[in-house]
Amino acid sequence: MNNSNFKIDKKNIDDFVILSISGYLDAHTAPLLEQELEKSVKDECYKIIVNFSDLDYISSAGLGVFMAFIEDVRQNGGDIKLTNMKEKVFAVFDLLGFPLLFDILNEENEAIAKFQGN
Amino acid sequence: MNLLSNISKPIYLSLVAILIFLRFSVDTIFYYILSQDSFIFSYWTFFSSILILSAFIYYFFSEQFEKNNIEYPNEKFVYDFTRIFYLQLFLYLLVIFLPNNDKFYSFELPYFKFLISDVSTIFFALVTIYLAWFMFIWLIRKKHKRTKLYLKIIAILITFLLVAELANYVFFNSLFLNDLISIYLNDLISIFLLTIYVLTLLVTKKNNWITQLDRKPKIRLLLVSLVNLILSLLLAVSVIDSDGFLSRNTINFLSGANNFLGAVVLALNAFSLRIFLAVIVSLPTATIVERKTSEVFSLTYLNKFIAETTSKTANEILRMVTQLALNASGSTAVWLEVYNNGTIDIGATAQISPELIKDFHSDKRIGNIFTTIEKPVLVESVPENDEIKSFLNYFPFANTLIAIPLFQGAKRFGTIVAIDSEEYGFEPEDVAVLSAFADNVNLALENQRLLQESIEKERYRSEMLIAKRIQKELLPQNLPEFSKFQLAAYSSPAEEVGGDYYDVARFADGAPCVLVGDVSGKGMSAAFYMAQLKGAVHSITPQVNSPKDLLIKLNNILFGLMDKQSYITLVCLKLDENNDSVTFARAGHPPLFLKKSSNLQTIKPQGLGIALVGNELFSNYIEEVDIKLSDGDIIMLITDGVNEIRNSSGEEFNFQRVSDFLLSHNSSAQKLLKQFLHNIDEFKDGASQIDDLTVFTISFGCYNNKRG
Repeated sequence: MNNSNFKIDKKNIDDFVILSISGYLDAHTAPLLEQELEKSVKDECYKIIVNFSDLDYISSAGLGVFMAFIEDVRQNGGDIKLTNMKEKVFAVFDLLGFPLLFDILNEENEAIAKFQGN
Repeated sequence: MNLLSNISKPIYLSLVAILIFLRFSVDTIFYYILSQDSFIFSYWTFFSSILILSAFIYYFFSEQFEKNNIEYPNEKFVYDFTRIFYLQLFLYLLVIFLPNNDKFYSFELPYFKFLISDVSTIFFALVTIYLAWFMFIWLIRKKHKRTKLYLKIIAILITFLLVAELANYVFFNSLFLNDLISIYLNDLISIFLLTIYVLTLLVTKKNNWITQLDRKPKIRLLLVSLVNLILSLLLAVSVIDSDGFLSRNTINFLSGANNFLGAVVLALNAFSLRIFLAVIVSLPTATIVERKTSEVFSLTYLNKFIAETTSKTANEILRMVTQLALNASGSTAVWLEVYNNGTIDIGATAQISPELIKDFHSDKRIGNIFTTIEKPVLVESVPENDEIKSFLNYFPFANTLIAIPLFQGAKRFGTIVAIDSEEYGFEPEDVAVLSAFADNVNLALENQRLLQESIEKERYRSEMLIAKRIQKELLPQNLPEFSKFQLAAYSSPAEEVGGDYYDVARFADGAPCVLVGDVSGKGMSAAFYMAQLKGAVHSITPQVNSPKDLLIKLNNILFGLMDKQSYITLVCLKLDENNDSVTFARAGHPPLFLKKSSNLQTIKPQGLGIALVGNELFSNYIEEVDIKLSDGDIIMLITDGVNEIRNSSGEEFNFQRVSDFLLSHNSSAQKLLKQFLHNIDEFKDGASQIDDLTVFTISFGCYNNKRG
């Protein structure tokens, strides 16, 4: 898999960062997402929404990326919320028990609402 | 010749010395006995002269024949030709400073003059034979089509001159010589001399070698050939002209060999003339030729050196290149500076102290002047260039400079700086040459780097093979056998090593514990965690009695030991032979596939992956299930490498295909595994495996007897 199979679109709405990821997220492309999340944390944007609507595949290394940052983000009063997952991608998260650890939602709006509700 | 060549050189020379001594002694005796020239004296000088000359001729020429194949480099010729100049000069000084014989007959001279003339004549003969020998071997070395013919003719003519003259003086001179014969003879001699002169001019034709000489030897050759030309003419006149000093002496003491000797000196004159003219013609190209030769030599050498870089370090390459650049450009000094992360280092220097350059580099204003150039720069006059005039503070002798940037890819990694003490001392060609050098430096360093890389790659590869072997040994080579359960397993990493794991251990109560796991990621890091996992599994299993407890304890140990983003998924089965059941717990791993007659279930008790969260959350969440088994039941455990297999059209294997396979197959564990792997291969259809892949099959009960 080369990097061209994976893309991140980043937009900021209010104090939310929305990362829309597409393609394949595996051991080779995971560092791209890692950099993006690292940047957000560095910029003190802790309210992160990752939109999975165009993501076709996620591997164990891809899952690991979220684990790497979640602790840091939550300690700063933020969260990483995952939205718009395809069924297949959700199955991978589900297998690992991620629904217990992360808010996995259907739509970006729900995630924003959830952030604001907190 | 063979007879004589057996005599050693010192003995031979001693014999010659004795011969010469004998000659002088007898001459002295004659001087005091005879009052005027007589036949006896003539015969004596004739035979003794023949003997002495033959001895000399033999001495020189036999040596030449023996050493026919030795090298005679052009530089040595210049040196020898210079020696001939000294010999001729000495002879001519004798002619000038020795009192001329105003008396025709030697016995009328005072004894002192008699002896001096005698000695100088022998010396003259000696020198002349040496000259003849010298020209002979040189012309043989540089022979052309007609050399041999011409030399033969010259030899015949000279021999004739010698014999005729000797005969003339010895046999006819004292008799009444017919005037007519004498005139004819003299005319003939003149014609012969002229012929020899022309033939020598013709034979000295091959002078291309002169153009290849360096400038210095060439200028030297020019001067030497000019003076040799003049001196040989003067000597020839003196020996051929019957009133000349040498002529008279020769007539008296070498009985008529004067025309023979004169012919040799004349030949030398022709020889010198040809060489002088050749040098004159080739002189303007001398500098260019010298430079080109040096360039070609250096570049050739550099290329050879580069081909051998396999064994050289980068520093050795820089040093060699700097030295060769100095030779090729003819500069006063050369250095090569190298840039590393903003600092300037000295790669190598030639003819200049590194201390000077260090001082220069430490100058903040001008020290980094070369780091920014993108193209070769030629500063013809440093003192006239305001920008870098202060360069002279550090290098007072650097009146001209060339700087050639070195690139590795697009990266500027250094500069070759060549300086010369002479303003306008460099030519544009020098820039071209040094640029060629720069290209070669890059090539050499690149070669060297690639070589190092391939060595490292090779080492890495062999280490990976070792790792692969070790990891293979971490997985059970043979699975244990049980009365009711049959086990089979297969594991294959996507790279040399991987993060998949399977094992069979024993719980505290002795019940078998089957594990299948997958460390996140793949390759080396996964392999290390996998080894760590195995260690933890084997230390904990004997302390616990349930899969759930095992997974909780594993999480307890491994959480915090692993990277935040690394984790392990694991399934654990306890095989209970007494109750015909298994206990199953799952930590984030793909589900267990259970086939009961024609019914297929995927069993997925909840459980987080290991090392994702702390123990409280982990243990609160994890569940454990008991599964009752009956004869013919099949269990399959896989890692996600199986369901994520893709075929060439990008289709995933999926859990569904695992289920479908199990529904349509009924075999004992081992056979089932084989069939399943075959099924996978068929699906893959040549596509490559992207993730580590493990399959563990368990069959229960009635397959026991039909296994095979």
